[in-house]
Amino acid sequence: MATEIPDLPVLHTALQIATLKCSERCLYQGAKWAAELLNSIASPPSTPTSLPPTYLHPASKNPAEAALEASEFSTFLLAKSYFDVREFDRSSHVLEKCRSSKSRFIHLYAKFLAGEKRKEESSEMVLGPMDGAATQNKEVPAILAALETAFADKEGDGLDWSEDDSFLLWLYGVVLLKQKNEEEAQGALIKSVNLYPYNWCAWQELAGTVGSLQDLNNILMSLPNSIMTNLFVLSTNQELYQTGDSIHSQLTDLLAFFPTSAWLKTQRALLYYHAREFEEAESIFDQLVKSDPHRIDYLDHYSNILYVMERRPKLGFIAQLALTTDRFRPETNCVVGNYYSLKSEHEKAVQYFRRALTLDKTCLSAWTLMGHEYVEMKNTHAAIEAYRRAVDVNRKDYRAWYGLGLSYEVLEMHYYALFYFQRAAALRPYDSQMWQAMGQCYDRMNRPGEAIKSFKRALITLNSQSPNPDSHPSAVGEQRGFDPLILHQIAVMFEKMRQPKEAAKWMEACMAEEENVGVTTTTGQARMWLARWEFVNQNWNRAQELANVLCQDGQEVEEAKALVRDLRSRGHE
Amino acid sequence: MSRYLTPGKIALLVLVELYAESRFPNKAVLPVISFVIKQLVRPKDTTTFILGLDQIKDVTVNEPSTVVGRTIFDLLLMELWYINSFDALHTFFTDAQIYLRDPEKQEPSSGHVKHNKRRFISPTSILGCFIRRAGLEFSKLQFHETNSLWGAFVQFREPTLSLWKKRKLGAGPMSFDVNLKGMTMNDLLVQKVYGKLDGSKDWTVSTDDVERLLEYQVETMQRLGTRVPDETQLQLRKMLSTDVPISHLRHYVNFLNSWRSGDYPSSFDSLHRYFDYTMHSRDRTFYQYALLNLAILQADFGCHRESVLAMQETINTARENKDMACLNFALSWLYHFHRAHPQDCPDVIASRMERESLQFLKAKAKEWGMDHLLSMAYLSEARQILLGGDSVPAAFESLLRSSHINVTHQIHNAQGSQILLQSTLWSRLGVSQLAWLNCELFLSKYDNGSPSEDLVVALCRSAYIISMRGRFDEALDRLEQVDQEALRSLKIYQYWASYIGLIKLRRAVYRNEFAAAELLLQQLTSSEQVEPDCALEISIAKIELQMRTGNFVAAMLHCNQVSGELVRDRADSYHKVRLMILKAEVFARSGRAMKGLSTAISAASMAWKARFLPVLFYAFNVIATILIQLEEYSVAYKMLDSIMPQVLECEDAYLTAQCFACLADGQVGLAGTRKGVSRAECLGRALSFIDRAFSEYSHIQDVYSQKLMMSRKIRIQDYLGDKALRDDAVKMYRQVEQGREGVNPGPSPFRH
Repeated sequence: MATEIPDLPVLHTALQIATLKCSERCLYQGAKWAAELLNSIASPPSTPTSLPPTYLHPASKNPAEAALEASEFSTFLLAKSYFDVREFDRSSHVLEKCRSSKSRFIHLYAKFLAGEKRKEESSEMVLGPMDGAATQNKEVPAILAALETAFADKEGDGLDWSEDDSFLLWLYGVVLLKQKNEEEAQGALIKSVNLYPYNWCAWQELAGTVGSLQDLNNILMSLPNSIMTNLFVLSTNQELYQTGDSIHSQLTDLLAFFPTSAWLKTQRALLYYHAREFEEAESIFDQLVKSDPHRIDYLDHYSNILYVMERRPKLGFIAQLALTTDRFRPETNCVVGNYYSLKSEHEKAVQYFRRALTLDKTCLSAWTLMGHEYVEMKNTHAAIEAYRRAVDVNRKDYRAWYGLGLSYEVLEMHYYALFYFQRAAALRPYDSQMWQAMGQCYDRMNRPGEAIKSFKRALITLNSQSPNPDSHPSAVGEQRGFDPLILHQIAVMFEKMRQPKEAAKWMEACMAEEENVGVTTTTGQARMWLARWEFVNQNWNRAQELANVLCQDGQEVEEAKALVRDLRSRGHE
Repeated sequence: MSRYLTPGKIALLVLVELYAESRFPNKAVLPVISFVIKQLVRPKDTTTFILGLDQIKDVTVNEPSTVVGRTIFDLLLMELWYINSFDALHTFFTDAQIYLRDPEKQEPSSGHVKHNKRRFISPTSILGCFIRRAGLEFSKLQFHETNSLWGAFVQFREPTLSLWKKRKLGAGPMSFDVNLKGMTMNDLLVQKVYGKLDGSKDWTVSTDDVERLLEYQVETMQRLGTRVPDETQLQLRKMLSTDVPISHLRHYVNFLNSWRSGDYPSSFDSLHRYFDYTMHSRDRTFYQYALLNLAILQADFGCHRESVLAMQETINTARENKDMACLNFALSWLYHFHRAHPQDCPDVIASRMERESLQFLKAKAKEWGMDHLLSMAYLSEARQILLGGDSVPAAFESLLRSSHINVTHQIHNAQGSQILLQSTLWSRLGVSQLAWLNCELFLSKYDNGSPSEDLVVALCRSAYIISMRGRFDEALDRLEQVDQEALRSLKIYQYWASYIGLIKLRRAVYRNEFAAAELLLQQLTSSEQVEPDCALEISIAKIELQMRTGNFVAAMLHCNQVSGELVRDRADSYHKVRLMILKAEVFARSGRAMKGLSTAISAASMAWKARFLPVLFYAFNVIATILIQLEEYSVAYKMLDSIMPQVLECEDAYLTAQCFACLADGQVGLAGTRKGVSRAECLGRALSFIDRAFSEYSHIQDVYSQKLMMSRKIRIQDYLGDKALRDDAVKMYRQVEQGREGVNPGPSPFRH
């Protein structure tokens, strides 16, 4: 991924043009992102005294295309003004006969958005009967056909692909994605970013098609040699929950270019969040909020962090902050929903998540969080549906997969649950929670062998120095720092498999953990088990020793005392 | 816009919690908790609507708490400042609910021991209801509403920061929110979240507060019949400036206010507006009340026919909806209306009113246990007896019944009508002292909580009685003591103004200030809404004026016209009799005594039958005058002489003076039939009568009659030949004449 270091003035101009191009094509989010990045450049080149005219309407580099654009300029302005007041159909209609690539893009994009709007309208309420796959964007086939003929014409005429076509290709990719035609979409999008790398929207859509590290590595070679690729790789890695040092160093490199970029800092915070280093993530977000209190983007992630840390006052404050900026942003509603969830007011939380979804049906975190709330409210079916929608929106959300698994577990459908836990574990291979859940699932299905494997896998992930899971339990025990609960569970599994010796070893390991975590119920149980085990093996002394410890404190005092009495009677024999 | 919760309510809740935590010593419980409860229950005065921290401070700052050296206010401050973030506010409301638990039902738990001093509040008590309501309202709030509440609370608490700093080390300007630790007011983040708070008045007032104020206002207006006081108007305006949603009750208050101020179009509009909103929220069940209000409104503005139709509709609707309270009220109202304006009632109603008379109302009122209506029905019965000139004992019996109901059922606002009626009764029986006493009694003992209309009526009546005694200035002074607030109501003002006008008119007539009298008369007759008692007095004064200016034809015409109207309206028989006597007097004064005799005698017999004693005495006086003109001196003298003690009891200066003058005339006439010593004796008696008449006339400042008396005295003295005394009398005459400089002296009495 070694990219040559871009020339700063060039990058500066490129980003300026990109902002203008995006906003000209009504890709508001792309424009916003590019402009933000533009303004976070370390040392911007000295400003010229006047702007060249190309800055107002960046014309095509192709003279024929530029002439076309010039001739359609007034029509284009009319269409754009309609677009800006959200009269999509009208805007699209005005550009019906236009030939230039820019006009054609607006024509089709407006049509697409009009279709999306109608789809929203007809899908009615969130999680209602009309919501979901049943309601489709009806403009999609027409747009697809129009784009395909345009591309075919181009091929037929033997014309070169130009920068201007990249936006059409992006639209093509988006439309294909709507039809779940991911491979072709990916191709189109890669082509688009190759033609013009500064359209962040295209990169985002491309990230949506990348389901795993493998996918990312596959397409890496076909990406353009630009700093944008680095940014893309970074954010995709973040979304794939890669939290390694290499990512961090990559991020540091990028921050050298854009030292004030809030977006990059957010990426860093999210990396910490995925690595469960909440304190760091919180402090980064803290600074971000202080430096720009009007920024709402990613506040929902911040609220997730605060939720996990149970910082109620602070979460409330962030909710207040978001509220004063905009009540009708999905992020705001997610933050408020999180706050209510933390206050155990689940009905209200659901209400706010629904609100967020009404504002934006593709709001991933709202779907997942709503699923969590439904689980709390014991409404498993609604929870499953919410998680399902979350997964539909983005297959990389492990929490939704995990939630699905949990919901099915509640419904005692372990086979289903297992599948979802596997998906979750695939996304978060170093998260012990997923593996533990999977192990329990196997246990319930009476497959202790697989359960043991899962639990062992869960052990590794806790420690970054990753000991060999297949090694002997005593070796494991030496290394310390494991969750005694998992060790205990492994032992229980072995016992189920009628391998008591193996079980005894794991029990020992579990008991040994007391040195790290202190006496817990689990270690007590392990000790009790061992005492009985020694009793059976007629190791009276050791049994006596273990039981005596248990008699002093611990949950199973009565049982231990009975054992001691038993031992005494035998000792007298 | 807040439905219920305001920062003030939060402070109250904190006080309740402190109380539940047993942080009040016993001595402090009563003042503080009664203060809290006063804010929660139906308001008794206008002080309890916008609750500020200062008010709470006044109550709590002097009350020691169980913590040594701290007042309850200190504890309150501490608790308030412990709510140090939005989340803490949330927690505060959630935690408040634990005080509600019933201690018996609670299972013993480990955390219980440390709260052994906690007292539990029953969920159905006032405080319990408050806690529950507060919790409910809080959980109903949307997030942004909660945020506004928090903002309002921060502002509410802000002024106490200096006090809090003294108690808590390290408290600074940012300690209102724990999340802002280490920041300053100029920080972008602080500006963003709290910057817009300054001066914002959101959530300082709740809809509940406004509704309480409006309900209180409606109640007061309906009970006392006054307008909205300026102070309350101000408070209301202050409340409405805080973006609180306006309750539709506001329109009702507007309606009452503009109704009282006599603004027909806007009261009409407001009433319709109010019921537009009520229809929407409370179904159609209140339609009859809308009609009822409309009918009363129209009647008040003189659209009698419209009013009757509306009332008929009311009755029909009330019947349909089986709303007995409304129905009975409407029937009673219609009955009274029918009595007051028989010419405006369609025949159907009139005939029905005859049938469904008072008996029906009484029976209904008894059946439904409507004490107020029953009391009013008895009063109506008494009034009817009076109007018809029937048995006085029966009237007293009804009065007593009504009074009994009023006293036993504590119906305060019927007390006024009852006492006033009693006063009327006494004055008709000629015991003016008692009548006056009744009015004064009512004014001094029942001025709290009585409708201001009754109060003003009593005041006017009392002043009028004083003026009858000739003490005009005192009477006018008394009238000026009226409560200015009451006068803001148009109807009351008109009533009051017409009495002032009447008293001034009478004074002007007696003083021979004819131009002034004419002007006053014009003003008085131009206003349409004059109460019948007053109208009659005005007519009488007019006739008197016309007689004094020598316009007997006009006086006679007016007399006939008024009596015709009275007969048509089936008016008070007292009024009719007064008019008959006046007619006879016109005849007598215009020198056609014989024509008046029969009228006077029949009037006298009617007055006697109904025991209208003052009227009876007037009649006797007129008859005596006529008899004297017929030269039946001894009969006239004897007749008057026998009633003189009672005449004096009436304390009507004019009547007394006239009687004395008549007696003097009788004696002079008798002197003409006798000789020698007996003649001189008669003349001596006549002289003494003339003196007494003169003094009475001088009370009422009747210049013409005073001169008349003096001229008679001069003649008698002249006849007796006592020059010195005659000269004295002449001097007196001159004095009287000069004392009224610039006043039309009237025709010289010597012409006769």
